[in-house]
Amino acid sequence: MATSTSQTSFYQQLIDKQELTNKLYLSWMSPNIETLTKRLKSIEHDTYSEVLKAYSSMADLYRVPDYFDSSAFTRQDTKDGVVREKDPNSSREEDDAISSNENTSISDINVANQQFRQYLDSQTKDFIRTLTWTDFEDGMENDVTRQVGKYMGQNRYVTYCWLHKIFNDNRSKPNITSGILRTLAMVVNKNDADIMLTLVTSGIASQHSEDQEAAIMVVEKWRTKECLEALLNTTFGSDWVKEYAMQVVEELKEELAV
Amino acid sequence: MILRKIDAITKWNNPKSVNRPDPTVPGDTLSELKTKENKLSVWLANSEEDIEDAVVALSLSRDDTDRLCLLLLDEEKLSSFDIVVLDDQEGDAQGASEEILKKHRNLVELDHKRLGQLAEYMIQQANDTNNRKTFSEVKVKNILNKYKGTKIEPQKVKKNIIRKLNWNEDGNT
Repeated sequence: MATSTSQTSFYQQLIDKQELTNKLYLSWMSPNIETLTKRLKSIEHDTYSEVLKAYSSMADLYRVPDYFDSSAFTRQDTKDGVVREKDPNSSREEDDAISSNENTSISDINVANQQFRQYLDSQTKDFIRTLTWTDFEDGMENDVTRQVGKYMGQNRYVTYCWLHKIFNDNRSKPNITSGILRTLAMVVNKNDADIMLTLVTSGIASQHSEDQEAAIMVVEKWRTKECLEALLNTTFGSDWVKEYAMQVVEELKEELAV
Repeated sequence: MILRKIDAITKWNNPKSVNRPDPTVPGDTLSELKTKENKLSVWLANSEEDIEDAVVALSLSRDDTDRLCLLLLDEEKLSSFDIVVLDDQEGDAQGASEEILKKHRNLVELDHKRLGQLAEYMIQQANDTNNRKTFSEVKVKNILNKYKGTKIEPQKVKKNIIRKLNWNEDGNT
């Protein structure tokens, strides 16, 4: 994939960060900053995730292992490059000054998240088009599941926020919402079930049978008590879907000893 | 009897009707009957064992152990539409035994008229609880575990299916 102007500008910003260049310099074993800059400029979309990961992990970066030569890795946001434990007797002004410095890395992470969200937002139209024309076949990966899986590999939580937004913006379009739910069933791990639960409960409560069917498929994968509760006392628009839901309910009741 | 896998219950059971005075089978429902060389893949389903064999074959040919939704079809009824059920091609499912793969059938020489009749018949079957089968993921896994080592050669099964079943790489649990 070709590097877009906005991506190039983003990479340039990254290059400008001394911390990042230090990190990449160390991790890529690059002989000098010029080589590294060349690499970043020629970066492809797939490497975007690596850069983001490096960028996001800058908080860890400051905890420099002892074996590193500290001169190659000096913290820029403290007066002397040294991170100190907070003194319990320090004044409020001193505390605020330290907090402000500590927050630098958090704001950098936020910027990276925002950049990735902007990138995802720029993909929304194409994503919806693909989603609309994709035939979801049970148990089979497709372009949509692969695309979402790739985004999740780059930044899971931002991808979840993005999916939430698309789902909410298209609530009356079951071909989109059911597609998102079927994608969740395929790519979202049970460990993140609580983050995406609202989409599933919304799907179960939907007036569209295809949303209900897709939501039950997610419940089948996640198998949590919250999902089971959402399935109970629901009115289904198709008696076969109801039959399928009841089968899953019985299994979960037994499994969760409810 | 034979069976045909479907991927969306809601396209067959109580499907969204077409908004016109003379509606027939909805276009969205027809989209589930994608033919290749004017053929549709089906499996023999004369007994419970046949049905389980079909579940094994269909599951082993996918990327995940998801649920399976099936519709039972009567060969005589198909014959009344002049739809021929042919034993012309073995099934394709990595790890399934020869015995299972031989139960694969094709509905052949399908055209616009025959596809319409078939779809209409399948919608009827989907409304009858006796002619529709849903195998949840748990049931699918139970059947695959049941036939492991007998009708399934675990070493030949796709890696992602092996992982979903918690079988070791060599096929053992």
